[in-house]
Amino acid sequence: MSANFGSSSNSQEVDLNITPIIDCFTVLITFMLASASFLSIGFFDAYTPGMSSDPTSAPPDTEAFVKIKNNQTAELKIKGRKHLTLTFDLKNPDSLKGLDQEMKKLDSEHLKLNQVLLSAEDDVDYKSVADVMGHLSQSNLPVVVGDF
Amino acid sequence: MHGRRKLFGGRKKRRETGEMSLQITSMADIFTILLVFLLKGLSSDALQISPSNGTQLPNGINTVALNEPAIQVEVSKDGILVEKDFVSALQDYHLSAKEMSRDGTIPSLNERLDKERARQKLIAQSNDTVKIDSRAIILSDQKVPFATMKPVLRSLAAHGYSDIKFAVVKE
Repeated sequence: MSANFGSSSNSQEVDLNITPIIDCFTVLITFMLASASFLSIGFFDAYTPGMSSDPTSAPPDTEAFVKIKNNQTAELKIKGRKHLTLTFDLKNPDSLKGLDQEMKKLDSEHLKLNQVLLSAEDDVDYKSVADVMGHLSQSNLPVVVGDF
Repeated sequence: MHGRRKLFGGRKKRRETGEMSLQITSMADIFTILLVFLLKGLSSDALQISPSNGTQLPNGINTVALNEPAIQVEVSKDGILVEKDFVSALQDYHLSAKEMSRDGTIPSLNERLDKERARQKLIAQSNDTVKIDSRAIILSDQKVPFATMKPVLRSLAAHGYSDIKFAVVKE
């Protein structure tokens, strides 16, 4: 690499040695690629029992429970002003879309519903819990995870 | 003119000696762009959250981003870790009865959380901007059963960690 300084009649050619710069770049890029995390991590917001509801808010007239069972199903139970029990198959994505729709419906029905309680049977793995949490977050209701 | 003469001279010389010149200007450009891109990625990922080797987070949809740091509790195949420190042993994702107390919490985890709380209180005493944090991040392997998650959640709740962020891999 070279650069000209001064007028064309009195030019001075300077050679810039970029080989050490390339060396530095190679080491830096290798180091950064090695330390970079290519997993994109997201989060589900949830609460532990007894801490989520705002004491100043009105008492709820409806309660929603979701229980994940060992047979890979999730049972949604709504009690209070509205009564409903629905079962969704965790292995079937179309069935889980039904849970999405129910959560959106709950949001739009203007019920006094402060939170959704999420629980699971002992042998249910975290993957299934995370699946259901993803669908529950369709509504803006806080999710409380615990043993209900 | 001088430069051109030198260039031709150089070529002639190379032809004679069989020397090859590598055009590294474009390579330097590529490296600069790569470096800027990686540095940008590094700065935007200020919260370094990475599970230990062997811990496989489940995939998740409709996730939110984490803006502020919080205490990290990891549940893997062999144990429970708090801030990467081993706290309690698990046998193939399961807690043994001796690792649990009567109230359904995990004594060794309680002890570690007590220390964290004491440290936070100490900092909060001398710095008004620091508040007692109620947030905790759970990095759990996808195979961890709910029976193991429950005592972890109970221990966190008992220490005032009520706002839990469950980490998943964004789909």
